[in-house]
Amino acid sequence: MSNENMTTPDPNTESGSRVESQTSPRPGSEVVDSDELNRPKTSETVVSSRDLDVFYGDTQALQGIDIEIPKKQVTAMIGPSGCGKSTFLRCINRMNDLIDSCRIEGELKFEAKNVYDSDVDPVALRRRIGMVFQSPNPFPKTIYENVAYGLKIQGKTENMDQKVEDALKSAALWDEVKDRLDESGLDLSGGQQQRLCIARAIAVDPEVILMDEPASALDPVATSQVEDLISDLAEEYTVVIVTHNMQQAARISDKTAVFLTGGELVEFDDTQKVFENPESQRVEDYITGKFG
Amino acid sequence: MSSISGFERIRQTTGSDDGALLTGAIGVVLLGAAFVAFLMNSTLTIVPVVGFIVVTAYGWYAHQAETARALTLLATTSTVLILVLITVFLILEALPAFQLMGLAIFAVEKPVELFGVTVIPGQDPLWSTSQDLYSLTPMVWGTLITTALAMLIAGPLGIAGALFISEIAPPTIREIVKPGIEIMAGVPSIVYGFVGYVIINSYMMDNFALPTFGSLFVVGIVIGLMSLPTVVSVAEDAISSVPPSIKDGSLAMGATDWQTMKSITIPSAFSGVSAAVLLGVGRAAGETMAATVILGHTQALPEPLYDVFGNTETLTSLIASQYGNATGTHMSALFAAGVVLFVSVMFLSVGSQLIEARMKRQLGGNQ
Repeated sequence: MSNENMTTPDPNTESGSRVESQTSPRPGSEVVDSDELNRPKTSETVVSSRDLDVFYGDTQALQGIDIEIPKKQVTAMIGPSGCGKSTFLRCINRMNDLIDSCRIEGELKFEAKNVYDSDVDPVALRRRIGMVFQSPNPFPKTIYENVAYGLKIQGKTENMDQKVEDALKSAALWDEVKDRLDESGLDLSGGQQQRLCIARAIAVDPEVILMDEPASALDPVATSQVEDLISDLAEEYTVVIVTHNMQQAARISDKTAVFLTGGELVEFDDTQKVFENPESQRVEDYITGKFG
Repeated sequence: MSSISGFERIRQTTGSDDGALLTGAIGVVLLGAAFVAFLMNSTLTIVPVVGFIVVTAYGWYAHQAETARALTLLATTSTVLILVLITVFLILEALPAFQLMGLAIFAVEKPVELFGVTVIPGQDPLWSTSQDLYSLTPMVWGTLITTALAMLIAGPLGIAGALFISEIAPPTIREIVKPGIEIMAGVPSIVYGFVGYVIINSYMMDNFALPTFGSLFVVGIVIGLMSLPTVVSVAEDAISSVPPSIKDGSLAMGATDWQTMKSITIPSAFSGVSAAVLLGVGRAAGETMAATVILGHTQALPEPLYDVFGNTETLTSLIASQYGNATGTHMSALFAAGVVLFVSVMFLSVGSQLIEARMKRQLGGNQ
């Protein structure tokens, strides 16, 4: 399936011109490197939802979520614990299917196709939408095998060495592991393990990468390495990241969605707008630390 | 409490709590005396035993913490000591048979020669109480065959069952099947043996026209079914202890359930699964009742060797069927069978632990 068949790219954005709101400094701009600000904005939407409700048993986890996630940008989802942001993330690649009590109503589209249509194969869907989890979960296999796993299960075994090397380079891990590819992925440090998981996800060249608090189990140095990596990834991939850390969202994302308790999407806009001039009082209170 | 202060004092200056040390010393002396008296078959054994109980009771009252620690140490020491004593007894009793037979304890019908040197002596008949000839070869062979057959049944079925219970079955079925299988492990082996004798033996006679009632094949099947619950239960524990996070990782990569099981879950659980299979082998090799009930007890090698429908003997069924009317070197030969079984099962157990340790180190290695 190709994305061209559903979206009409704005000609302006193809030339790399920046949308106005990007030109003014963003919150936390002292830590934003200038490359990132030059990222072209497009109006293409990759993932969109309309009136999405999610229930765990009798508990409603998400209420009427409407969102349009743009292509090749970093979209951050922030909000207090239990607000449903991870639930939304796991709906996109249907990982919530694994939870028996989970029930989904409404529409969630990936490339114009409702992912919950009966003819959608979740396995095929997950091959196009990669995921990085909260704590690093490398397979108990060698570093090489970890990255090659997705290629093997999808039968893309030609040029495997090259693809593994490319993925490790994109994940900024190659230099650290190139001499020890046959060692266990579990022997790496936490930050390296998480970058290995990112390499594993991008090795199969997905269209979207979902990240569920990818830095929350890491120390500050490893966190900043992963953050730099996420910014780079947005040149090739659409990244959706759930984070607890508002500074992190401000540093790395183009768009920010704020979920608040009860599973509502309260605000979704350019990151700078959300952090500097939020529409909703509740979002302002949350961002300025009055609650949550 | 006084026990805490006593403990502190012992830690600071050993020997300052004279009461506790003295009580302990008297207890050790009395226990040693009881053991010596028991070995000498003395009627006075009861005296130091009662003395020890009295001293322990006093110790519990006056120095509870020290006494409790000493008792746990005593319990551990006794377990190890009893094992050592049994081993020593077994070997001492078996010694006459080993001395009488020498290498011929493993004799076969025709001597095996290698470069003109007799490696395995020949002997005919292999086992004869009237001629004082005791070769354990047929029984070792019978044990090997039944164990191998049992594992051919319990291994694949057990692992498949474990995989179904932990990975495939819906929770409601798992909650019924898992305890059910664990109860099966508790069914006494004589029950399995009897079922094998009544049903499988008769079935084989009627449908396969076997020349004799009872065969290694039937024993292998029954022991395999008998060890199945153990294999399923231990393998299931191993498979379900694989962290869900790495299974999620695999599914999120777009792996199917089966790919995840095959490439992630089973390799990760490999050490536990192999431990389960070896535990099953251990049970199969040591299983007595089924073999005793089903087999016809012929102490000869099957003809040809791979004839699993032969009606021979295993090490365990030999002991169980003959100890009642054995004396002298015959009895000693039965103990020798016990030693051979003991040593092989011990090697199996040590081997399984070594494999498990290696797999643990390698978990994450190239699989």
